[in-house]
Amino acid sequence: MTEAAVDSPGRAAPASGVIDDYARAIWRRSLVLLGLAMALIATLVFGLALGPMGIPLSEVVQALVARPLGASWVSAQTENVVWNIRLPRLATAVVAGMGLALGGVILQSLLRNPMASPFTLGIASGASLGAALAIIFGFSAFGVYGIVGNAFLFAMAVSMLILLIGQWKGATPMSLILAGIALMYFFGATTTLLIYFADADATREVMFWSVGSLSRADWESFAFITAALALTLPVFLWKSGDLNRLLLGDETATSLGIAVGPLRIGLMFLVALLVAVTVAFTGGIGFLGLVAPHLARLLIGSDHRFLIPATALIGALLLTLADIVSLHAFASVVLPVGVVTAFIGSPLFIYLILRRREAGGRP
Amino acid sequence: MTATGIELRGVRYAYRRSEVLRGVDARVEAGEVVALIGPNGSGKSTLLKCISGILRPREGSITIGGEPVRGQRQSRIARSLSYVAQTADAVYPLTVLESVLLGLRRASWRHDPADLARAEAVLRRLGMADLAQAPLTEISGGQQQKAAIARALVRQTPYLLLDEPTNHLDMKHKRDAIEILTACAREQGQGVLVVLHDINIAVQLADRIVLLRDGRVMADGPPQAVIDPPTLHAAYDVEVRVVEDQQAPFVAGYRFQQGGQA
Repeated sequence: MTEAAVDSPGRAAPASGVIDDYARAIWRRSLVLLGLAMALIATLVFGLALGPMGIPLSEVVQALVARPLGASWVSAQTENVVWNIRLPRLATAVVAGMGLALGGVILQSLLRNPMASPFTLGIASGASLGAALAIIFGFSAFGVYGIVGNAFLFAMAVSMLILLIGQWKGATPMSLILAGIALMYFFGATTTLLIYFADADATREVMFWSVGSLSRADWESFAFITAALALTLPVFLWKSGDLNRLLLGDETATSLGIAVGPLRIGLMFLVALLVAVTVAFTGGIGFLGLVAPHLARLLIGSDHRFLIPATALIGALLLTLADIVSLHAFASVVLPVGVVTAFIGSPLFIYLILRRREAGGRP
Repeated sequence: MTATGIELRGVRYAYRRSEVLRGVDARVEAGEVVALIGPNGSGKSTLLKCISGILRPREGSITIGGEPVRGQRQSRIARSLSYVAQTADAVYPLTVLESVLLGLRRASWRHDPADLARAEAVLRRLGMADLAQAPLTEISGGQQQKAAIARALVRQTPYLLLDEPTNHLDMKHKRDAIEILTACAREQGQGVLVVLHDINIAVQLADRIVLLRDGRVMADGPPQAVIDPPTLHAAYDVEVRVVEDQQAPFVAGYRFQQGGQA
C-alpha cells in the first residue's frame, strides 16, 4: 500500500540493525567517558610533577599513595610540595572546571540556546562586581569571606534576575541571552568604573576577580566547590531525561508530561548556586562554561545521560590544562588562568555566532 | 482506554486581548480519525494546545475519557495523548532514534529491548530506519516531522493530536506519511485529531471533518456533509470547484477574483 510496506522486505538491513547500532553507540560513549576520565588523571599526575622543584612521575604517584596509607616512601619535602602546594590548586581546578562547565551545559539546554553560559548570561561578571564592591568599599575587613560572600550574593541576584526576565510574558530564549549580555556589559562597566577610582592594591585585587585565577586555590576552596557539586550534580543527572525532552521544545516537552516551568526554575536555581560558589573562589574564569559543553556534544552527542558527565570531565580537563599552561608557559610569570581560557574561548564563540547566522539566524 | 473520547464544551481562549477560540464544542471518539481544517488564524493550533494542556482555556471544559484536563497533572494528561507540534526545529544533535525513544517512559535510564524494538518497527514503517542514527540537526524539516510522528506513534496513547504534521513534506511523502499514520492509529484503536491544510487528504482519510473559522466550529460532520462550495466559500472566502470522485467530494480548484482583492 505504501512506500514503507513495499520497501521493508527488500531492505538489506537485518531485523535488529537499528538496535545493534544503538547498543554500539552506547558502548562507544561509555568508552569516551572512560577515556576522558583517564586523560584527566594523567593530566593531574603530569601537573603535579611540573614546577620549580621537578618531581619524577614515579615519586608523584608514590607521594599521592603514601599519605593516605600513612607510609613515608618519599621525602617530607616532596610530600609537602605535592600535597600542600600543587594538589590543592589542581584539585580546585578540577572541581571549578566541572562547576563552570556544568553550569554552561545546563543553561544551554534549559534556554535551548548554544550561546548560553554563566559568562554570557552575566552571572560570572555579576559575581566579579560583587567582589569588587567588597574589596573597594571595605567589606574585605571581614577577611576573604566578605569578598566571597559578596560574589555569591551577586551571582545569585543575577540568576534570579535572569529568571524573572524569563517569567516575563513573551520572553524567548533569545531575549534571555540578550538580557544576559546586556547585564554582562553593565557589570563589566561598573567594575571598570570602580577600578578607575580605586587605589593600586585594590585594583590588583579586583583584577583577580574579573579575570579569574587559581592562585588562591587551597583545600578550603576545593571543599566548598566540591560540596556545591555534590548538591547539584546528582540532580542534574536525575533530570537528564527531562532535559533531553526539553531539547524538543517547550510544547513537545509539556505534551510528554513535563512541568516545564518548575523544571526550568528549579534547575536555574541550582546552576546559580553552583556557579556562584565556583566564581566566588576563582573569579570569573571566562568561556569555560561555553566551550566545554560544545566539545562534549561533538564527542558524545546531546543525550544528557552522557553529555552531563562528559561536560564535567572536559571542563575539569580544560581548566587543569589551562592552569598548567598559565603556570609554566613563561618561565618567570604566572598568567591568570582566565586569560588562557579566554584565548581558547573567544575564537570559538565567534565561530559559533557565524555558524548560527549561516543556519538562518534563529535563536 | 475509555469509550467517552475527548470532549470540548464552550472552550474559549485568548492571547492577551485577541480572542482566538470563542466557544468551541467538539468531540473525538476513541478510534475515530477527525480532521481539523480552517483558514489561517482560525484557532486550529490553539485548540490542539488547549487539549494537550500546553495552554489553559479561559472558559469552558475539556475532558479526556471523562476526566477534566484542567487541574490535571501534566504527566497524567501525557498518558492519554500524544502531540506533534507544527514546527520541528532541532537546535542540538539528538539522533532520530534518541528523539523517538524520548516518547517512551519518563526518566528512563535504560531502555528495555521491547521499547527499542517498538521504536525500530515504527521507524521502519515510516521509512526512517536508515536515518535512526542521524542527528536531527542534519536531516530535512520533513524528515524531522516524520521523526516527531514516529515519537507520537511509539507512545501508543489512546489519542493522537497532530498539528499539520506533514507541511514540510512533498506530495508523495505527505500522502504516505498521513496514510501510515492513520493506518497505525486505526490498528491501535487510537482517536486522532489532525490539523490539515490539504482538504482532499482530509476527505480521503478522516471519518469526520471539523471546520473552524474565527474560533468557532462552522461545520462538523462526515466529509460529504462539510465539503461543498458554499461552506468552503463561507469559510475561506474563495470560490472553489468541488467534483464527485469515487463517491467522495474532491476540491478540484479555486477561482481567482478578477479585479477584486485577493
